[in-house]
Amino acid sequence: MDVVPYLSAVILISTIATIFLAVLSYAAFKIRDKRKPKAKGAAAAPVYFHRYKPAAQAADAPEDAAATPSEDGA
Amino acid sequence: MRGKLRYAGLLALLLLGITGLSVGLYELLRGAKLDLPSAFIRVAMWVLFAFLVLLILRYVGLLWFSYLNHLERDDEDPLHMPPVTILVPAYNEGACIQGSIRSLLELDYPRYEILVIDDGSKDDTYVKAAVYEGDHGRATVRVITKPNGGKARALNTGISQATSDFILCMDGDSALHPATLRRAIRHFEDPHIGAVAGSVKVVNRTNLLSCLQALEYIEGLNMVRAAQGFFRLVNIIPGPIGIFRKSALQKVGGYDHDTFAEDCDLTLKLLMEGWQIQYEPGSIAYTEAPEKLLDLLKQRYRWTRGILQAISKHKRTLVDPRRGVGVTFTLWYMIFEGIMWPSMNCFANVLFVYVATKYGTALPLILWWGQLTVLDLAAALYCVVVEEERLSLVPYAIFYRAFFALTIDVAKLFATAEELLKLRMDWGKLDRIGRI
Repeated sequence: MDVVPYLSAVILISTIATIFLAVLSYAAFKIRDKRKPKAKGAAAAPVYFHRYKPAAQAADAPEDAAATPSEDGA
Repeated sequence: MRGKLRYAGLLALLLLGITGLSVGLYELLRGAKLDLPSAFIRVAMWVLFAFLVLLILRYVGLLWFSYLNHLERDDEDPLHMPPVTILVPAYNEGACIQGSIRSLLELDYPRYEILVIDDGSKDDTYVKAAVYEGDHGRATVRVITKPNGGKARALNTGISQATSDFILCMDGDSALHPATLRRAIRHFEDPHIGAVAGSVKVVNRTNLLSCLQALEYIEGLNMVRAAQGFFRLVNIIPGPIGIFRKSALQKVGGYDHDTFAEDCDLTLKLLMEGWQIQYEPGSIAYTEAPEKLLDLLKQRYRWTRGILQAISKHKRTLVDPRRGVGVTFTLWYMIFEGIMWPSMNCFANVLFVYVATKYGTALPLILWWGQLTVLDLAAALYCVVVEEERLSLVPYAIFYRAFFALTIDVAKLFATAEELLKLRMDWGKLDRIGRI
């Protein structure tokens, strides 16, 4: 019995399903992330992450400008 | 020694198996005489199969060097056992913190300090940790609290308060194996070693997703670290368990807080400063893995963007090997694992699905999937045996390749795109279940 056609069908279907589910899951993750309740004053608070500046540029910036307190950290 | 020789036989058998099955799969494809009219598809397929050969070399290389590192392992007790400070940063870890501290009190080590840093938790983390404060014979527990400022700041606070020359950094939601310190500290007899990466294992193997992660941690992460450890070039000291020379931490300025993968960033800073980093499989941290898909994606999203941010900080070394050829190679390897492989895997799957539906042949897809599954099964078997894990984890390698890896790679691809577009992100803290 030639198993290749069956194997092909199983792998093909599972791959297509996985690709769709992976994209949908990622979209669901992003939607859930956007919907999560924000802490009070979060809008006014600075963003936690600031891009790294090389030492030469950072020397001009305030010492603690690299980051500000996040809502959840550890 | 007998055990090691047994592993040599297993490794030889696996390498032979990989070769035999790979040749078989390629013969299958060659015999099929694919007739593809599109030049683009033909070129793309050749590129992908060349990439597959690269992956075979990657797996064989990792297996080989992790075996060499295994041969170098010395099971003797260390000559000296200096005091160690264990830093436990905790933010809203009320569900896990007492379990973590209890596991730390059972460590087999003559003298150590446990320093819990409550990072301004909103739950009862501080109260629960403070119950254990005081002298416990070999161990002393201290608990300090500070306003919330992120894990990196909490760890830096701990480093400044630590009284020992060696520091173990871990997560508040992890537990340690009793031999962890004893196994790790002996590597520091070599003055070039700045840090030792431990082995992370999943404790909550309760469903398919967490079992797949259990396998991934053993095969995907620990095997790579073991191979990198042979060159003393481990590229990520995992957050749940890293042991550091305090002077090395002070020299690089502790943890930075400008990336979302502070453990990876610190590791790269140590390598850039010329410190060597070893892997110790006997130093084990047990951690909770996400049990739900969306939580897993949240975690991987943060890892991917954090690692890219850490690479970006040191991008000059990508083209300037003055910090050491090994360090430059390590950075390129991180790009390979973080960007190239996930991209190629997604592209390959989409292309082969297109070829199968358009031209009616799924053979390229079978070859791709089959080859990677063979490699994963071989690596899983080797790692499970060497790490004395349950053999029942090995068959998960099939599900790992069929569903898990592709799903994670799609998330990595999106996360990479968002990082390149510099989209805003925040910490994705997982809700802990409290199984530790």
